[in-house]
Amino acid sequence: MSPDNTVNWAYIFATLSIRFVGVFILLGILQLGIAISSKIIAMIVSSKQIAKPVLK
Amino acid sequence: MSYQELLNMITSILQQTGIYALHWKDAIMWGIGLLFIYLAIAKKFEPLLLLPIGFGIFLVNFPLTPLMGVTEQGQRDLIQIFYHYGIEWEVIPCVIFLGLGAMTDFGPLISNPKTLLIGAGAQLGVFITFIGSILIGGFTLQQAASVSIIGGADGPTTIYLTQKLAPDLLGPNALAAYSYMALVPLLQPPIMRLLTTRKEKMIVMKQLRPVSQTEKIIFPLFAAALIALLIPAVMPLMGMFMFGNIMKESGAVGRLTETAQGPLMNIVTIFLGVSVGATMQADVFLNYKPMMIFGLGIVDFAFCTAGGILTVKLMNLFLKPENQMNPLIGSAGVSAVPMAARVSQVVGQQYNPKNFLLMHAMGPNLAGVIGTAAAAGMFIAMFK
Repeated sequence: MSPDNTVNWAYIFATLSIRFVGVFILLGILQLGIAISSKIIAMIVSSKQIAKPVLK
Repeated sequence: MSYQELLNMITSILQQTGIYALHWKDAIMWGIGLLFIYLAIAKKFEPLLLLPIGFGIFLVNFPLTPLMGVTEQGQRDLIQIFYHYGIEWEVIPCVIFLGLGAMTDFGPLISNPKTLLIGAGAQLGVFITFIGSILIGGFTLQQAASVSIIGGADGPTTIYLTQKLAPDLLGPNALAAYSYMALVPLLQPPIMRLLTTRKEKMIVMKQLRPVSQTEKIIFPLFAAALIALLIPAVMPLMGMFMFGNIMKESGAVGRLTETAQGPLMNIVTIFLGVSVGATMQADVFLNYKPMMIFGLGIVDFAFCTAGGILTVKLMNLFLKPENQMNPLIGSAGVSAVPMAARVSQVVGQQYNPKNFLLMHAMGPNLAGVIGTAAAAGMFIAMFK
């Protein structure tokens, strides 16, 4: 069985490669987002703890 | 009444029974249906899905049964109604994702976000099989895209994409996806052993840090916004997934969360299983294409497993020794939540009984769900 002759293989390979990299980019941005938001939350939590008055 | 009239009457009665219309192909389909029922009951392979699918196959392959037909007046038979409104309207896969979101704890992923990249690496097989499906299988571009997503081992995404691009392949694709999901404990370990050294299998990973509720609430909002902006085509699935998750993590709507992860999920699972099984009628299933799909599916699945493992090995080259990851968690980059993560745990403990990889493997496992949906969204954008 032969593949469809009308398929533009150059386009298919190019777009597939870009889109495969695109999955990495999507998840990479998500990774960065998580890392940054975690840092911000940790900073907020620690600053709140510092600001809390110590009761004697 | 003459003898001839009596004979005609008996013939007419016989013609109204299923016995008269039986075909050898029906018997083969009963065998396939019964095999699925056996695997579900005796072997406990994905019983929640394989039992309804198996029974659906068994039921619709009896001739003259008004289950999957549409009359000339447009009236639909019982299972055809489930199929039409549930699957053709793409409702059930999205509702299942809502339930999955309500069951999912993204904590391990948020705690170790670099595991997200493993979920991307595990989509390698999807893209390789796409090419293979066209070259070897002679599928059209749309059909090839729907076949290639099987390797992601994500049933609802496979159904969603197939319904959009190649609805004629829905039965075989869904069956292949769920079959390989059920066979994860058998298919993955040989590939995992082959691609990792003994030293790598023994790597003990750093304990995951605890994740706050605030982070868990921000995650679905951020992920939904990002996916909506980059791959809008897949938002019906991912939107529901993240909605289910924020319901769970908010802790504010316990009743809704319980409904989404329990009764609602169970109801749609019943309709999904029977409907998918009912698409497997002998005339549709017993030809070369479904066999080809099963063959390509297993290659796809193997490449996706390998892609996840190799991604971890590649990442380890750039990580400090104390942050190294065990490549066995890479195989969990295919979706199949949580079975693929359990397989990482089991194989890891065979080499180091004190190594607990389950929670570490949940990160790539959940990333795999997002990665497969992303790949599906890209195919929809390309070919719809």
